[in-house]
Amino acid sequence: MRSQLDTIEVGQNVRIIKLHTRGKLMHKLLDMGFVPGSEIKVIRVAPLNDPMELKIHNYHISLRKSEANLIEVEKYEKN
Amino acid sequence: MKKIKVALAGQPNCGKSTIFNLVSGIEQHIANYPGVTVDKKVGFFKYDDYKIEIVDLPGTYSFSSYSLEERVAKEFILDDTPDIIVNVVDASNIKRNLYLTFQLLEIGIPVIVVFNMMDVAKRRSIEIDINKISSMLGTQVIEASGSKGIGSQSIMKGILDAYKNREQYEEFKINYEELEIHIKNIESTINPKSIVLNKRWLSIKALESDQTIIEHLKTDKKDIEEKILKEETEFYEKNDKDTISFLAKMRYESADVIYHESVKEKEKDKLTITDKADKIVLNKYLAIPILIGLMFLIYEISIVWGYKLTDYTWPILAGFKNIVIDILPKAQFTDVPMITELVIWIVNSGNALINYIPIFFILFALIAILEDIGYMPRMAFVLDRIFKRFGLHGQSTLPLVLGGAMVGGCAVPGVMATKGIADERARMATILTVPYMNCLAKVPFYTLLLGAFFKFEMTLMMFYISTITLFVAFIVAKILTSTVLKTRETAPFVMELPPYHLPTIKGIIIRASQRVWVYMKKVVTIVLAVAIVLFAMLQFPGLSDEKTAYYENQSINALNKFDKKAMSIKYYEEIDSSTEVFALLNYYDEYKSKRMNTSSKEGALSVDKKYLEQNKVFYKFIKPKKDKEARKVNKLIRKLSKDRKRILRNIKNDKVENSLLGMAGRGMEPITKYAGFDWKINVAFLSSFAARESAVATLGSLYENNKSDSIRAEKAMELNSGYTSLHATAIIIFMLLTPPCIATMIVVKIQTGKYRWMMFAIFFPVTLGIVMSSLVFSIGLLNDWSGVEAMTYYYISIVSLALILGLYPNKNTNWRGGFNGSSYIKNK
Amino acid sequence: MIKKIIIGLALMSTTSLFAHTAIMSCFDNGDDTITCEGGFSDGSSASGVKFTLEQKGQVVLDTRLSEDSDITFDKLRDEYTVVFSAGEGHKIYVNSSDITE
Repeated sequence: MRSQLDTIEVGQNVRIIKLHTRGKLMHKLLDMGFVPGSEIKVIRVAPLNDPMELKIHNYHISLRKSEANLIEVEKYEKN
Repeated sequence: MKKIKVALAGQPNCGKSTIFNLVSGIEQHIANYPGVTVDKKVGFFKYDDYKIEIVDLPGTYSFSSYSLEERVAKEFILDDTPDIIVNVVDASNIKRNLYLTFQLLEIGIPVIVVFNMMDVAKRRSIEIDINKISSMLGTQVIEASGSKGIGSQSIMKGILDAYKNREQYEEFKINYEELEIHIKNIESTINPKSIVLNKRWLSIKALESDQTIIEHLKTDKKDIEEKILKEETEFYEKNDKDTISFLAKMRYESADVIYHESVKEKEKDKLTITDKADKIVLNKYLAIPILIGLMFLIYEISIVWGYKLTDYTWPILAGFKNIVIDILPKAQFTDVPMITELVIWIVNSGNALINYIPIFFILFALIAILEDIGYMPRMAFVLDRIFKRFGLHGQSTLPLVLGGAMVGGCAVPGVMATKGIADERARMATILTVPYMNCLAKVPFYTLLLGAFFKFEMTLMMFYISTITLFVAFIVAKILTSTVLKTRETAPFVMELPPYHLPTIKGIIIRASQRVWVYMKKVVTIVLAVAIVLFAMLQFPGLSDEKTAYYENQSINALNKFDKKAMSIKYYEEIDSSTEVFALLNYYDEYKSKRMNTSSKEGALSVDKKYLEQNKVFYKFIKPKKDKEARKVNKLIRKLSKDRKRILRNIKNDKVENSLLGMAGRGMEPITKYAGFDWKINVAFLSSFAARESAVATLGSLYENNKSDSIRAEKAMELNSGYTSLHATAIIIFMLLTPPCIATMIVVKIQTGKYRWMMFAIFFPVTLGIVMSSLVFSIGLLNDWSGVEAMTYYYISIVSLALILGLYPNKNTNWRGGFNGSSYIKNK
Repeated sequence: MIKKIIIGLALMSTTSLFAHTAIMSCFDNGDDTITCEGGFSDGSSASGVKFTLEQKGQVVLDTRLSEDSDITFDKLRDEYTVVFSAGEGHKIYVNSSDITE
């Protein structure tokens, strides 16, 4: 079940399918480890409802919803 | 002594600075990388008989060319060719850190890797097989814990070993599979003689579209760009992937492999201390109150307490001033030597600036603590949504607070605090808006005006004044980012939230001291130079001959009066010549100013003793006690002193009116009259920008003591003529917008790197100030508004404008992403 | 008139190149009067700045510093506090017990 990262609820684990980004944003995301196949956990959302805090590759990162919207992910259950 | 040049590289938040401080001790220089406002920190240390120079490169997540820091770091490697690269890695975050490590290893210069924060890794039960990683990476891996001071010897030794064995260094290679053939194709076209660096690295970077490298290669072969494009396209056609994503993926996969083979995480999903803390700090309801609380705390400690600290430091500065005055040629009644005036002026300026240093030191230390702990990104995280609407950044909070978001602050440290803001456009916007905040120095001014014109509505007006600045800042930020700053680099808001960690005292003190030093070196020197220029502008051309004669007359009159009354006093022969009178007068004034400087009883006694010893006779006159005759002299000398002060004041006023500055004020009148400012107010503003005793009280005559009743009566009269509360409002509005001080402007130049922005930061606010106050005054005049009404309408307009602008979205024109270049897709 | 003076003096006395600390010192003249002189650390004039005497929480004198930035008043019998108020953060208090001759 594929969705955009900004729609994922807090606490959910997802895996990156594809980045629909170009240019600077793409480079930044790649540098930070948002490569297809990587796992992300949504930790929380800011008090004003934007941006989101994610956990990836064992560290925490913040991403605006408008940016998260461009990352296609699929949910999975962690056992 | 043999020299080794070392470059220190690592991702942000890996503790690189702590390692840098650990290894290089106190001996550090800070400069700028050529042409940019990025700090270049260079440290030195000795080991065996080598002298090692270590350059702290800016923290970068990667070695591409998409940010200023990366370009700077890469150009350093290309131009300065260090002997060794030391890569600092956060041991609790290995996978992501290896992404940079691989790129550094590919350069071909010997690299040693330092796993920092080993104590944190241990605490999180992360077990690392150092030897395994070392052999997989093909280089030394040294364990360290910078914040605990562990590892410096091993690192220094590691550098030395790497240097001694540099000939045997074999470069690290990742097998890039499908890309390999293209890499080799590019390699073969590079001429080995003219390009010294590792060809493979250059080819890989070229295929990544790294502009810095491509420019570098073009110097040798102009047509290489076409070749690179050809290879990229071929790769894309064959494999349906672009080189950049492909390389990133391969690197992370390799990092993954190394990670799984050498690292064991025993408690993978256990909450760390940081996680637990963030549950509170970033809690939906608590986050903002906590943020406000912290800002308030910083403000309170640095500005309020720091200010109290100046109560102790000020007497030292004043003491220095008194010593200087003692050395300078003395005044002969109203004839003050110019050199004396000039030196006192300069000392006053210098003292005022130096007086700030305790406050700044505390402030910079607190900021350094906040940065090191890791709270800044969280601050940005919480407030980003509001700030981005105005073109600002969550990290703009601290600079704005320091500049005076509450009752009062100082723009100088506020602007200096913009250093860490990642987004270039937001950083510029912040630098240019901090000056609009509530400057502490403006507060006495407001208080005075409010006391005179708005006695009953004081609280309301004060409320308007303190809160309007933030809205103005938002509006200006929005305007600037939509117009002048439109084309600046912005950054996607992809920001790491690093683990919290305790700062080191050494690090804090070093950073705070460095920043205070920058202030001293750059701000104080220039301001003093400007002060001299202003002195000249206020002095020349000076009094006309008639006026000179007039004042001489006044002086003679005052002296004659004194003499006449003194004749009947027993002690007359001590004060019957002008030399004696002048001496007594100076003695009296100096005594008073020295006493003013001492607050303790012992201090007062020692001043008394000194003056008694200096001149027994004169001392009797300043402290007559029961001696009736001496008391008469005392009264006379006090009157004479007052007369002298009055004459000097009037001379100064005339001089200023007549001066270059005065002429400027008159020249400006045609414009400023719309704001209700006549030329006298203009000159007052102009000289107040330079301030001090240059009282342009052409407006005034006498201000006598204890006349509270008569003041009220006169006020009543005043309402019908002269300045009204509407004038006062216009002046307040103007004052709210003008830049606080030249020191701020200088810091703006330092942070932006260009004089053009400093000029803009001076002229734009002043123009805005004139326009706004003119509008309010003219409209107020037409509608016969009172000062309070005018201010209220102004306030409401500003707040509304801010809200409207906030709802208008900011276009992210400076980076593209997403389908067809648009950056937001609505969810279903 | 007074308001003109106030505006002029206000403008002069503050917004400087570089702001300043407030300073004040008081002096017993020995003839049952006290003179207090105020100023700012950068030499700016403090004339027009509000000056009050407080005794047991009550304001017993409310005036402003003269053009010479000073003021002379009759010595009060009991303890009192001298207050120089140039706004938030620029307030100085001096206890009568600390005023010496």
